[in-house]
Amino acid sequence: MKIERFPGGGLVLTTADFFINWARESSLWPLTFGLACCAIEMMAAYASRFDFERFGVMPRPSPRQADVMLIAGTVVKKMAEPIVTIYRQMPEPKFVISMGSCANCGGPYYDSYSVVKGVDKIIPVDIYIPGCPPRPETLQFAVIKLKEKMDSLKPTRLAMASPVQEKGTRSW
Amino acid sequence: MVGDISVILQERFKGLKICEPPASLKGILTIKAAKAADYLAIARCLKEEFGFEYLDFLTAVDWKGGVDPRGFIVEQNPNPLLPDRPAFEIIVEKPAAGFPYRETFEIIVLMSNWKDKAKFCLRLEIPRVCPGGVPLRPAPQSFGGGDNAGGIGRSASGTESGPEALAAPSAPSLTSVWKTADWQEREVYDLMGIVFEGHPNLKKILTPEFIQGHPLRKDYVHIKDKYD
Repeated sequence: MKIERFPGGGLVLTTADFFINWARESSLWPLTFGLACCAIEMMAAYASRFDFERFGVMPRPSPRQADVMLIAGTVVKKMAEPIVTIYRQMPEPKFVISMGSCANCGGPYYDSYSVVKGVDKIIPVDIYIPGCPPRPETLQFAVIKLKEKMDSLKPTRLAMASPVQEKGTRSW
Repeated sequence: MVGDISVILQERFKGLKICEPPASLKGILTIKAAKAADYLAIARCLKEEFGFEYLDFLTAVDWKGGVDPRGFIVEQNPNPLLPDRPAFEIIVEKPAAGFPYRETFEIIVLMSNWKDKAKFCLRLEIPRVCPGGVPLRPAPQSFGGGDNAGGIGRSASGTESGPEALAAPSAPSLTSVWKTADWQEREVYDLMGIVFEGHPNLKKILTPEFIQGHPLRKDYVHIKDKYD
């Protein structure tokens, strides 16, 4: 689906799905939320060399203003409850990028008594990035992939969304 | 000055031994207290008479041999994308023969005298199971739940009523000498399960409330919690 331009300008036709998706994915605001060393790569991605703002990605200090949550680092059991709380505080639609081996599956701390074995045990995850830690380019690639995933959503019909995204998280 | 300390202390407290400092504290005068009752008195004497006003750290060592493999999480990651692998196994090294393994915890206290630029290390060995110690109670389930919340975590072995699990090792608290000892003793209590008698607020400091046992003990057995 594209934006149709009429000669001479002044009128643009498109579908509601495309327009809503285009608006959403052009300003993905992540929550500033670093848990371990992956957060250093996340900060590098925001900084001038990699310049995340080209993608419309701009870190927000409050979950109320955020669209996407970057789980950047090791999720320890003590941090699991705050993560769920913050996830519930984010407005719909919300997306989660799990960054690095620790957030994906526990990583090198798999045998540990204190680490959650993957953040997907506590919240739904859209994109997993491998690496320990992943490079900033990888994080930007993950955002591009997330935008592709958002392209397939049909917001007017609530289709192609995950069950949690369809129902919302107020109920669980 | 530092040489005098050992002479004076040995006169005053019977059974003190000058011993080897821990490996990372080479060259620091180290004294091993003979019994727990002396430990607090020695610390107070060192602070008030010899000017050791700064507590660098307080930590503990578990001298029991090898690590219990049940302390690891042995469940295999059920990843359908990986091919079949050999059975998951944790290889735990056996304790080396001839090494002085024993059924004790050792508390190590390092203190500084900034005026004389001196450091001093005090060690105390306590038995791993103390017959007259404080009985272990089940860990509280909720966060900050009443008077018991400070309380005493369940034994690492997971057995609530085993005779050997009934008493916790205990040592006098140094909080009355150095205020800094407060959080450090809480950390030692949390990870090793040593009860510090006279501590004003002895409760877990690092691990969340639902983790049972004391993870840095050699005989720690992991009990599954809600995130495993």
